[in-house]
Amino acid sequence: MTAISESQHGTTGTSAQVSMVFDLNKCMGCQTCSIACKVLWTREEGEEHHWWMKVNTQPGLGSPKGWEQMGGGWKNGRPVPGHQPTRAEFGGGWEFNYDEVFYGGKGRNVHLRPTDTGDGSTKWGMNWDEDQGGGEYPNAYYFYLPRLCNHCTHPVCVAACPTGAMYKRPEDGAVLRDEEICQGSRFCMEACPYKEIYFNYARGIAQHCILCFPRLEEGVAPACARQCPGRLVFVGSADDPAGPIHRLVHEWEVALPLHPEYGTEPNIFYVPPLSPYRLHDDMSIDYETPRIPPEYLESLFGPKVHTALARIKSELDTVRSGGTSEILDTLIVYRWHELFGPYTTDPATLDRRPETVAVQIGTKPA
Amino acid sequence: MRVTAVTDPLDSPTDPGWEAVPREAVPLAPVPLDAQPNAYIRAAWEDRPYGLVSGADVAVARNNGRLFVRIEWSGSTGPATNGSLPEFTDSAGVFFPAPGGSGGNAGPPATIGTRESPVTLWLWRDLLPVQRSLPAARALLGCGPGVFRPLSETDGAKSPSDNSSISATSQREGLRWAVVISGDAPPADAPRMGLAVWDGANDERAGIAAVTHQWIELEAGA
Ligand code: SF4
Ligand code: SF4
Repeated sequence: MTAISESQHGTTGTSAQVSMVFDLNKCMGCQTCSIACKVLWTREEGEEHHWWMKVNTQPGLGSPKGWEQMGGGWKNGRPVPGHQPTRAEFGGGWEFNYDEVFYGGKGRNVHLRPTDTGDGSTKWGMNWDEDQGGGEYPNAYYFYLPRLCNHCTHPVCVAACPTGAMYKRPEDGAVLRDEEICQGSRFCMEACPYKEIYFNYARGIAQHCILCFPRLEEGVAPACARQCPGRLVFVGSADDPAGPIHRLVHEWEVALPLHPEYGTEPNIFYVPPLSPYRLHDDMSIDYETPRIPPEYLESLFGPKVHTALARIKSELDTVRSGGTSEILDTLIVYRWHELFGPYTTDPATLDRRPETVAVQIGTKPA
Repeated sequence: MRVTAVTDPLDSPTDPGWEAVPREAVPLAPVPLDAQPNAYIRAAWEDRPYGLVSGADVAVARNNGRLFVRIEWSGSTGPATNGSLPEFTDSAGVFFPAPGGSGGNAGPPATIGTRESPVTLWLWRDLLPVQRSLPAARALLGCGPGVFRPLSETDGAKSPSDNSSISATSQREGLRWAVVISGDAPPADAPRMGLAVWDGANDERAGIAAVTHQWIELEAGA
């Protein structure tokens, strides 16, 4: 008889934590990361609306629609009830009028269009409000925010799971789910304050970003990071004092977690975006005021965002006046492999072993 | 409750053979909030009513070593009409003290098993059209409200029923469900059964359920 122990309902100690840093000053919103993830992991029926990796435009309602108002996370050491996002709030999973266009003999005058499935899912999508942003002309602004599971140090999703299907892997800190044990009760979806968990309607289980752990095990960086043409996604241990993630996060403090007030201690960090200066009504430049309101950035990244931005600006000034900057040299990434720590293996050089991977996803270690 | 021996399997809730099987009204009440398995679930449901189905009509028949349980109750909503996918669907299950150990007999059935006293749960759920590849009924090990696990051979729980022998047939008329769940009959030393019903429209799932707070004692009948 398998007893389900109390410890499986909480968090477990990790001996190592794989972290990522996204430099938002280099992200161009191309969604290559989103597509790299989509084609690798979520192409099956039931996963149509899954975007384990997606890039939202900020300010915006994001994905699922209005996720920052959906609750979840920890407050004073207690889990906060949250809303379970619906398929319509994620958007996507759209149906199209393929029959009408391709088989109805009307191909010349009927155009391909999404058909409303009745649940409103064709009224939103992971990049529905792309490039809308905020502010008024001539001071409109926006930036891109690539989002995925934060593989949190205190994952409230794990604490909310009644079956013990969810766990945090000690060897790399990936927050995973044993798909054989998951009963699809979706308390994890409610509890996650980042709304990073999706329901697979066809299989009746919840799913989310797996940190590409089968790739990590082979020394390959996660697909979103490796495919990013902007060379802005660092992967590695935040505990390696010589590695770029440790230096960016802990030493230089220019990379910050998203919504630290949610209390889950994310392991995905962001270098916050610099912005152009505001323009006065007469179109002269207001050198005192950045176009992205600092209070908006604080609402996303917490109060440390101000010192982080000041630090990057002062490094820029140093370089402009002929000096050098280790921080900027790190963020520029002169050599691509420097992004990936120990995960530089080219996946094209590996034997493909899909069966092994499938078994690993479905099995929580004893 | 009398278990009626029948000459033919009664897989369907509309089988006329059910007319000869006595029905009993079984009261249901919410699984206690303080028994819910973690602080998140307790916090999310402390101000929200659940276990909305207050009773079901139950009949039990036996044929060739197989047990047929017919459950009939009223849900709170009919089938979705606008093409939208409901997030949670109606569900019902019967459970028996799991073999071995203290065999579930130690405690009342209101928690759908405990870690020390698990139950074998035969769980039916109304499937979405997109879930056509999933079985309508499964056997699970219940170790507490929503603390459910697939049965596996390592659980030593091949009987009373392994997963493949569980089946269910359902019929809905308006708000009224009639479901037959069947499986290999549990061993004679555990002739008691619990019942749980989940109201999908109220987001009920896992331990958020209505359940029997007393065991239903099963008596072999003619
Ligand atoms: S981001 Fe959400 S799903 Fe991912 S580990 Fe944190 S709480 Fe869990
Ligand atoms: S692939 Fe890179 S540049 Fe493109 S959207 Fe993703 S993180 Fe941004």
